[in-house]
Amino acid sequence: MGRFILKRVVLVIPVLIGVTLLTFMMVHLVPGDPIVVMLGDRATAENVERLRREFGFDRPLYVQYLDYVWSALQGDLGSSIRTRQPVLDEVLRVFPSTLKLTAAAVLVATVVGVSAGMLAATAKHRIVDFLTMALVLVGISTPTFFSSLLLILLFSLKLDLLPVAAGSGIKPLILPSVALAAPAAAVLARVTRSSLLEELRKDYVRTAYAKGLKDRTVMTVHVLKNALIPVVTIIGLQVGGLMAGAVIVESVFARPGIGRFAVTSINARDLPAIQGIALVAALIYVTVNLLVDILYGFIDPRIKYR
Amino acid sequence: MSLRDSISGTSLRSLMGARLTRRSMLVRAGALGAGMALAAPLLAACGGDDDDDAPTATSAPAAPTATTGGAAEPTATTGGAAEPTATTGSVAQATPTIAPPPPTPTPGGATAEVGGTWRLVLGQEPDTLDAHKTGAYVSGVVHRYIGDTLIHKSPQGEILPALAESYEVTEDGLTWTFILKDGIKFHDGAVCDANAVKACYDRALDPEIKSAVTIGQLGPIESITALDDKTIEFKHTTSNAVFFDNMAHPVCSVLNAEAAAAAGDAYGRNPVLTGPWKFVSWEAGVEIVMERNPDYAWSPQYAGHEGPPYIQDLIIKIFPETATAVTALEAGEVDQIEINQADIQRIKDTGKYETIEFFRPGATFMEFNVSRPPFDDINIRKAFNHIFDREAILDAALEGYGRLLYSVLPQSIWGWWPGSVDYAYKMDHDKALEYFAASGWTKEGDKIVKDGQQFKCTFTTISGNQAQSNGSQVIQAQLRSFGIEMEIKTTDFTTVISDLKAGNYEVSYIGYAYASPDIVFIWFHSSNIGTGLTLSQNNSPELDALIDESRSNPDLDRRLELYMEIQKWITDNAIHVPLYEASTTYGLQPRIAGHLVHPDGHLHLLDAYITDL
Repeated sequence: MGRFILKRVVLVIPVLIGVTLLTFMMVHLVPGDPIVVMLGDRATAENVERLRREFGFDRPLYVQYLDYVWSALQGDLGSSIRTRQPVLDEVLRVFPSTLKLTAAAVLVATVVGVSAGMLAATAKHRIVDFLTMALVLVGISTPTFFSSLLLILLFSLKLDLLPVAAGSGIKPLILPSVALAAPAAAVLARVTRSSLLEELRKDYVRTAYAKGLKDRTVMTVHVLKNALIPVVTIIGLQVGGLMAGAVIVESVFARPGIGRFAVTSINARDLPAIQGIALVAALIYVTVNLLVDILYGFIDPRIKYR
Repeated sequence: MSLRDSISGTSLRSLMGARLTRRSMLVRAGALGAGMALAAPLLAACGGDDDDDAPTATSAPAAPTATTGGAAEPTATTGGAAEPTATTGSVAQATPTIAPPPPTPTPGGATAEVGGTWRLVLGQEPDTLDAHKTGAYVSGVVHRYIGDTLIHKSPQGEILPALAESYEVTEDGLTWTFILKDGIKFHDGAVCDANAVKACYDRALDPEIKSAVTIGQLGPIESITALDDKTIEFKHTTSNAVFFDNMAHPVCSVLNAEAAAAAGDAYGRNPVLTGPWKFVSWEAGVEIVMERNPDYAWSPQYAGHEGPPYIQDLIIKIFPETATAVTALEAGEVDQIEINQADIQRIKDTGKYETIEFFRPGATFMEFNVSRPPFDDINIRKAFNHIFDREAILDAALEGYGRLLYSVLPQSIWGWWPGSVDYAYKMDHDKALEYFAASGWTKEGDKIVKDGQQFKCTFTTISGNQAQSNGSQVIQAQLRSFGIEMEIKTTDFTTVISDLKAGNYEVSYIGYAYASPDIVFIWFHSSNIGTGLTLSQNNSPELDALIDESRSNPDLDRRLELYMEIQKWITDNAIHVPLYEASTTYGLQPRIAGHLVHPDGHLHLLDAYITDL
């Protein structure tokens, strides 16, 4: 197990180098100049050329990239061109907010998704099953932007129960996390349902029933544990989706976060910031999936790591 | 033009006129400043003299006869923008030189009291609050509340002393001297004297700072010298007529260079300036909090009252989505928003909010790339100018929240040529066909063709811009019914700008937001082709010469004439199709009075107070 984890951690390094290289290339392949964005209507030729020189954009691309990697290896992700603040500071400033939102959304998605999946599976082909699956369809098909606005209209404006925008405490977190969790919950409900149905057909379930165990015991003690293995994988993969969804949810609910920071940085062609965000996002994605892999071992002892 | 503008205009012209010596200019300036409040009614009575040399709308040379036929053009209102006048004056006077604007009537007749919180929404978060490192409009808005410039544009559009109590300029326009008011202090308690002001601008010039816009605003600086505690002198290597406009820009706010040096990179999030509100905190992506500066005793000359502002706390909320901002206004979470066009009527209909519609200086065009076919042909460009029913484009793009544009400068910028209303091209399809024919294109059936090929072009537009999305469809439909096939190409703003700069386009939907007529330099001077914003790729020594003189000649009359000639040249050469000026509408909770919209587009709150304390 220890060797497995070590191997996976070491593998993160080439992943991160790949991410920086790809981001660097993408940002330079897409037209746009951070200096022009920064200067807006005051982008005279003289101003643009001066700042390109001062920021070192007049150097060859490979020199800029190697310089970036060398600094990054020493723990310096550079300074944002837009805000002139160290990128790490900027990311850390907004990251807790995204972490809170994503964690709340994972919680909502898991509780709602798994419960709905179980409900549908136990009531297979009955009205509850159809209704749940219809709701799932709505959850998957409704764009987050739209559902966010609907939630605001209903719960903030009409019912006056929850605030529109960010603030302290749990209340401002409810609407954004529900909006963000909806598509993920829908996916989880479907996966849980099909996984449970598959398990229910297996011999050990028949044996359990033959031994006279009750429905609830069969479901919770035997079936659920096995059925949850693919569900845990999906939760891990959904984290990526949730972080992407955070871009929209954070904008609509005027919440700070890494998603909004990413959009602003991309629009400003703020390369150091984009690189920093990509690195952090990649790191989170890899870490979450590593954790999921480790979790497997506990959920299903048949899985061995080498 | 208002009487007050004429008076101030005359004052500056006489100050800058070549007939005066430096000494007599100083004497006159002092006398004028001291006597202005008293003199105004007197001058009003003998206003005839003034009118002789005032650069009024009618003083422009008669416009050439307008082109024939076409849809009737609406009358444009004249005198939309006040002249960038200059006066000298003293804040020590009990009465401000310029009368304060009448306070907004309040329900219940509330009086000004100190206290309360006003929460205003910005759609974007400032990049940094380091004035020297930002070029962002939103950062400028915050600086209007926490900072001061040496001179300042009043809500009436006049440029008046602010931190400076007076200033002088030599006849050659090379040396500008500002005398500071007494007792100015930074928010951290440090004294803001001439040395502090010098340190501030020296910092902007330091290459290590990588100044975004400020360094350009300062112009060709030779030296900045603190002559004594109160006097600071800027020497330029060449005459710099736009220095005056430039120094009133928020990026030239006087910051505490010592505090900035001590804070390093962190200064951008902990600014120390001299303004009516102090910076308190900035929660990333959420809000910027400011509190009333109780020591503020150097309010600008145009303020309705002396001393600190009335509103205790100003909070800027960041809402990237306009739909959410409107909901937040309706839910009572914020007090001031810019209303999305789609919601303006609905918000007005509720009758619950105060709405203010105004024009933020700026303009939108169909800009031609004159360096490559098909729009390198002036006949084609002129033909295009005769094709459009611009009212229909305005209605579609802005749902009526705007007005037609007639030249490169909008009515909201000083320098706008009123004659351009008549001089602009009118919709006239016969004329358009004549111009096409002059270049070998004829109408066959319902198509404009040459050598059997229909006229086609690509229109570059910006994604995520509803006005452009609506407007470009109407433009496309009007061209199609005329016989031209136009493809709409839509990409994100940064990509579009990059393509346009490189001349990699045919015709584009583009505009600017800028409060000074010097935009003609940025937008049309050949030195800005490629890296700058001369997107049309137009390279004309004749136009360059006009622009160069408009930037160096300190004589306001001559500058006004030059701007007229520049607008005429651009129209004659049909570099673009002027489309419209968009209006902005503020929605406010009706619990404020004494506020008004500043010409730069932010809400002027120095005299404002909360009515439901």
